[in-house]
Amino acid sequence: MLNCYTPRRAPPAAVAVEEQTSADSSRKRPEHRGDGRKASELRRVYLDLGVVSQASGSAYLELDHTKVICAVYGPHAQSMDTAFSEEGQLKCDLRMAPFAQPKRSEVRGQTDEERELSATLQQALEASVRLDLLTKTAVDVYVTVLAADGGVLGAAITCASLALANASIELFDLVAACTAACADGQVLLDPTAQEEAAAGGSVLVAVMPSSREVTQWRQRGRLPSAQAAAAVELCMDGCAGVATMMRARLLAQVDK
Amino acid sequence: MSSIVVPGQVITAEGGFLRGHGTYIQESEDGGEPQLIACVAGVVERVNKLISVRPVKSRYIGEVGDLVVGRVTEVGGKRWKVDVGGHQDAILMLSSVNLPGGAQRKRTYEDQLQMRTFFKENDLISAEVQQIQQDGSIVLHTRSLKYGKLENGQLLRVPQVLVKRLKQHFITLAPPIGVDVVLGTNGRVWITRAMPAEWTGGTSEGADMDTNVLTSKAETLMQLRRLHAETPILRDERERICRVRNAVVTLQHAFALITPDAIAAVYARSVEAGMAAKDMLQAEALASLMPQLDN
Repeated sequence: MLNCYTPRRAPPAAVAVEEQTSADSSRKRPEHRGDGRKASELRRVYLDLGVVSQASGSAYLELDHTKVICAVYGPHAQSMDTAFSEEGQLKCDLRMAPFAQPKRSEVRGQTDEERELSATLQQALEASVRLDLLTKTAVDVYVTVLAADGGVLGAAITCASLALANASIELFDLVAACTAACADGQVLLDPTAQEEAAAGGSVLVAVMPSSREVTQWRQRGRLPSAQAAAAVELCMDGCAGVATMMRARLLAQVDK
Repeated sequence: MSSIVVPGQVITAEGGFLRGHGTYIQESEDGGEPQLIACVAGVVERVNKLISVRPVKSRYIGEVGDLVVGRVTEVGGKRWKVDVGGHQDAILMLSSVNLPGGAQRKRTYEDQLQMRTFFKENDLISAEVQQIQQDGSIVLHTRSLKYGKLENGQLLRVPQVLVKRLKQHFITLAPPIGVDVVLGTNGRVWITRAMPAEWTGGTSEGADMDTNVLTSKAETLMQLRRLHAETPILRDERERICRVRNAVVTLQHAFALITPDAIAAVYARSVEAGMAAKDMLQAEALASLMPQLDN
């Protein structure tokens, strides 16, 4: 039942969230997390390719309630308003849909958070794209977060990498990304928004799975070094799992 | 043997292979043989020692002599930029177009000022690839009477792998169909009505009598083009164009090569079945029109 779509129940309402966090802290080490997963278990992943017909390549990714869509345009000639570069340019733009989070965002234009996520996304992808072959051209990557329930950046990186592959842009390797959060001395793979909020710190790792080269490593909050190391290891395992699914999806697409 | 690979996948770790499109070589860390790795998702193709990966869809990489159909995106100082579906817009120099009347002379400043009278933004043109530059950008020319502006017809975009290089890319489908098809190697197909025989028959005699054959030929052809562009297309002609268009779409659905014979065959089959042109793309109709792969 790999990569098969079944709609899920809506995430629990805000009141229920509070109850659950208090219940979690009373039990020191729950066997299962709020959604019945083990600590080292990924959420259910759903991938789709070619979802935006006008784009050169596109992908859609779902980690339960985190939903991300990405469209890639190009390669095309570089626009006049940016500095000319002999090598190819990769332009990433990440935006949250106004309805992505429980509270509707009223901000017009890109927020600082979105700009930071865009920059991180670009860094994570840039290492995997063969920019030397895209002389004097630019590739645009547009990511829209449709629903944010934890692990948004990781989902965006994975989804964008698939969209690049779908656009037949030459890549050294795919990029798979994964997040882990540390809460109550326990490392949780692929946390939900609720778990992220409760956690003391989190780690994001993006790797090129074949060569196991890390393209992005982002750490937030306070983490003891042993826990940080454990979180990175867990992320690497998670990325390997995600990469298997990415490859399977791409192969299925080519076979068709 | 053909196999499917994804970016980052090792194709072979044996030495002695040549790196083709869609692959790269990586030195192995333990000092062994360098590995050949895929960098696009697609089918592995081997020609003797050369290994390449052919992606399902790709941007147009031109070859000198290709016929392309493109849209003018920009009129510059001495050149037009033309979107042909490549990495970058192709370049068409003012010096590589035909002047009206087929005059052969240096391009003057006056010509530069009149560039929009030849081609302006959003015009569709057919052209030939003259040169591929070092960085992969394409240079076009239209220095033949068959190339130039495309008017009064229909454009269709298909995957470029379906248009193989043929002897002839300007196709006139035989009289019962009576439709001209321009198969651009960049996957753009232009469909229009064929020149009626009485037009060409009448004017060619006049051209032969003229002393300056080349000039008059160019002029008469221009006149013909203008006549063609200005004459409205009648209902039955429209229907035939539409049927040809849907025949090409049918081939695209079957992922079959788009050749004159294949188009004519699908066209004939649809007429035999008594199908209206508009019904050709319905699911059952498509299935019955699809070319059989075994013959």
